Amino acid sequence: MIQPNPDARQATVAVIGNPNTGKSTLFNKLTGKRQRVGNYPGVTVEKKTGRFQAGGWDITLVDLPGAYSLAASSPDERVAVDVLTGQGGNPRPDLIICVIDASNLLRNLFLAMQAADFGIPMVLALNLWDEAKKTGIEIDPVALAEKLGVPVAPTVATRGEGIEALKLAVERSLETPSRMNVMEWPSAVDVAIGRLDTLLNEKHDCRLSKPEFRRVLFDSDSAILGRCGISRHNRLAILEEARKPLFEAGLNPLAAEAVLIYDKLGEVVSKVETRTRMSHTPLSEKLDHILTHRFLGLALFAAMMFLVFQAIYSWARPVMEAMDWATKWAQGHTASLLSGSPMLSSLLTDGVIAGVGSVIAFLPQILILFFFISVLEDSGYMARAAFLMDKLFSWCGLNGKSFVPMLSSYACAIPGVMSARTIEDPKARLVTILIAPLMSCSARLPVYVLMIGAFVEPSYGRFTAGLLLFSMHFIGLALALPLAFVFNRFLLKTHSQPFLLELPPYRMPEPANVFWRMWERGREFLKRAGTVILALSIVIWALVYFPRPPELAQKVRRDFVQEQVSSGRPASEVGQALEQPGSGLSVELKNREQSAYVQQSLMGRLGRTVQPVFAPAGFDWKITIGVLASFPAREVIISTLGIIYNLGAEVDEHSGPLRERLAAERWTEGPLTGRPVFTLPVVLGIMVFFALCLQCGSTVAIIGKEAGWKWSLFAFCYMTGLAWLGAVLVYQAGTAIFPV
Amino acid sequence: MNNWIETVVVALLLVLALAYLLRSAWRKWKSPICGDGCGCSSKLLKK
Repeated sequence: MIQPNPDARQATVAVIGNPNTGKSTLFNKLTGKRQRVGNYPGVTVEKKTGRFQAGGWDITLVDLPGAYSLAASSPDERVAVDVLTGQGGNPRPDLIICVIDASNLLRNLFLAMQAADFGIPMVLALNLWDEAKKTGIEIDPVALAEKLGVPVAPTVATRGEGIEALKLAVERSLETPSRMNVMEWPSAVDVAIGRLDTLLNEKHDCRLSKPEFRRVLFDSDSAILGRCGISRHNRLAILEEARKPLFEAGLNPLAAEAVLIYDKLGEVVSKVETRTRMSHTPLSEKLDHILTHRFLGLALFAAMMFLVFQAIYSWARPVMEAMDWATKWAQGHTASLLSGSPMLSSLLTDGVIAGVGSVIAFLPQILILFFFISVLEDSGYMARAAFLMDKLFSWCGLNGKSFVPMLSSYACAIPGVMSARTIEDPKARLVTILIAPLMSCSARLPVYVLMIGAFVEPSYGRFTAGLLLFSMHFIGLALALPLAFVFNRFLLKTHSQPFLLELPPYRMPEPANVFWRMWERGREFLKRAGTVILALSIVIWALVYFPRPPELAQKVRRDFVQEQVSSGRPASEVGQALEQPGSGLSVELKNREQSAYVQQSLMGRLGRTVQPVFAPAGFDWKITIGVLASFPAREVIISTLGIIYNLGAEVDEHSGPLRERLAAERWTEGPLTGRPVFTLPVVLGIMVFFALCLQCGSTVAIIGKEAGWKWSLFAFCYMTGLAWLGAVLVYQAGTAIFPV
Repeated sequence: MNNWIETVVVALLLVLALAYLLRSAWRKWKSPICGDGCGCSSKLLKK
C-alpha cells in the first residue's frame, strides 16, 4: 500500500482510451493494484481509483471504462464523459493519460482529440507497442509528440515496459501542463454553437462550456444535454434549429466531427507511422478463418467446452477425496475431544465441520474452472465466441454484445449483470440482465459435482459424468435464448440491434493474470465458506437439532425393543446388545433415534409441510429442506445435506463421504417405502432445479440496483417457477421412461 | 463441561451466527457485493 507523503502535491489523473487497449493493465502497473483485466472489450464498466507517486506528486489515478468516442450512448461510456466534464460528483482531472493501441493509431487518436477539446493536459501512452512492431507498424513517438504537442510514451503494460518513462511524462506534464493541439473548427460550427447557446440560455437557463456545446451539437443523444432537464422532444427541436448553419455550410452534423477530425489526424499519422506490408497472412487471421467459421467454429467451441468440463471433473477428484478424508478426520477428533458435551460436539462436528467441510471440498473444481476461464479470456478466444453467438442471439432480438454479460455470468452473475451496461439499448440491456442469471455460475458447480459423483459416475462412468457436467452448463443458455425471444416479443418489444465488436488479437495468457484470477476466486470461495456458509451452517444445525425432547428417544427405544422381540429375539439378548455401544443393534437404535429427532425438528417440520409442493419433482422432505435453505446462496444445499445426513445418522470414521450416504438414503414412508430416494430422475431434477433457480441473494440485489426492484422480483419469480417446472418435467419424464 | 456452560456456548455461537447473517444481509441490501473480485458498487448508473 502506498503511504501518503505529507509534502507531496495532490493531483487527479484519469486513464481513458478505446476498449481493450490495456488501460486496466496499465492502471495496475502504476498503482500496484490487481484490477480485473481481460483480452476482450468491456471488462471495466465502472471507474476504479488507485494511487501512485511520481516525483513530488501524490496522484489519484482513475481508470475509466473504454470508449471509442465521447458520443456516450451506453451507461459505461457516460462515466468517461462525466469524469472529463467534472460531473456526477467527480472532480475534473488535472491530467489525462490517453492509452492508445499502437497498432491502431488513427482510430485511437480520435478519442484523444475529442478529449483534448476539454482543455485538460494530456499524456499519450502508446501501449501494445510490441504487438504493433510484430505486425510491421513503426511509429516515431518523438515526431508524434511534436505534431500533437503532448508527451508520448511507448509502453508494453503487461511487461511493465515504459512505465517509468510514462511516470516521468506525467510528472513533467503536471509541472508544465501540455495540451494537445486542438481542432480548428470551420466558422459554421462556431455560428451553430452561438445559436445553441442562445436557445439553451434563453429558454432553459442551461449554461455550458464551449467544448460541451460542441458535444451537444454533434451528438443528438448527448448525456450533457440530459443534465439541463430538457425533454427529448424539445432537445431535438433545439438541435434542429441550432444545426441549420452546419447544413447551410454543407456539413452533416452527425458525420461532420468524424470527417473533420479524421482529416486532421490522417495528416498527422501519415507523417509518423510507417507500415511494412507483411508477406504472409498473420497467424491470427488464419486462426480466425477456422475459429469464427459458422459451423466449424461452433463445433470447436462445443468441443473445447466439453474438454474443459471433462478436465474439471477428472482433475479435481484426488484433491477432493483428500479433503473428504480431512473433514472426517477433523470430525472424529472433535467428537472424541468433546465426548462429554454432546450438544456442542454435535454443533461442531455435524454443523460446522460437516457444513463448511462439504462446501470447501469443491475448491479444486472452482480453481480449475477459473484457470480455464482466465486462459480462454486472456487468449482472445472469448471475443470470437461472442462473434459466433451473434447469429444465434440475433434470432431472439439480442446481439453479440449480450454475450459478454452472459459469459461473465458463468463465473458469477453479479459482474455479468453489471457488464450489461455496455449495451446501449435500455430494453436489450434489461432483457440481458433478466437472462444472465440463467447462465450456470460457479456456485452451481458443487451441486452438479456432488450429484454426478454420487449417482451418475458409479453407474455410467467418468466420460458420461463429464458429458453431463458439460450439458448442465448449457441448459441455462439453451433456455435463455427462447426466453429472451419471449421477453423481446411480448414484454419489452425491442428491435434487433447491430453488433460491432473489435476482435482483439490472440495473445499468450499472462501466467500472473491467470494465477491472480484463480487466487482471487479461491479466496472469495473460502471467505464465503468461512463466513456466510459457516453462519448459515450453525443456524441450520440449530433448526435441525432442536427441539430435542428426551421422551422421544425413550419412545423410539421402546418401539425398537418391541420390534426386535416380536421378530423372535429374546428380550434379554436385545437388552444386552443395546448395552454394548459398538454392537449392530445399538448402532441401528442410535440411527433411528437421530432420524426421529431430525424428523420432528423445526427444519424437519418445515420440510414436511412444504414437501408436497416438491413431491411432483420426486423430492423428499430432506431435499426440500436443502432447496429452501439454498435461496440465500445455492451452495448452502451442500452444507444443509451434510448437516442433515450427519445429524440423521451416527457418523464415525468408517462412514463414507456425503455422496455415499446420499446413495444409501431410502424412503421411510409413503408408497415408495424402502426404495432409494435419489434415483436418476430425482438427481437430474435436482440439478435442473439448481441450474434454473435464482438462489442467490446478491444477484437479486444487483438486479434490483441495476434495473429496479420490480424487475428483480420478476426475475426471481420467473426463474423459480421455471426451475420447479423443469424439475417436475425431468422427474416425470424420467420415471415414465425408467419406472422405479 | 457443565451442562449450562455448554448451553451458553451453543447459544452464544447461534446468536453470533444470526447477527452476522443479519449484518451481511443488510450490507448486501445497501450495496450488493460483487463477486469475481471487482469490488462493491452502491451508486450504479441507470439509463
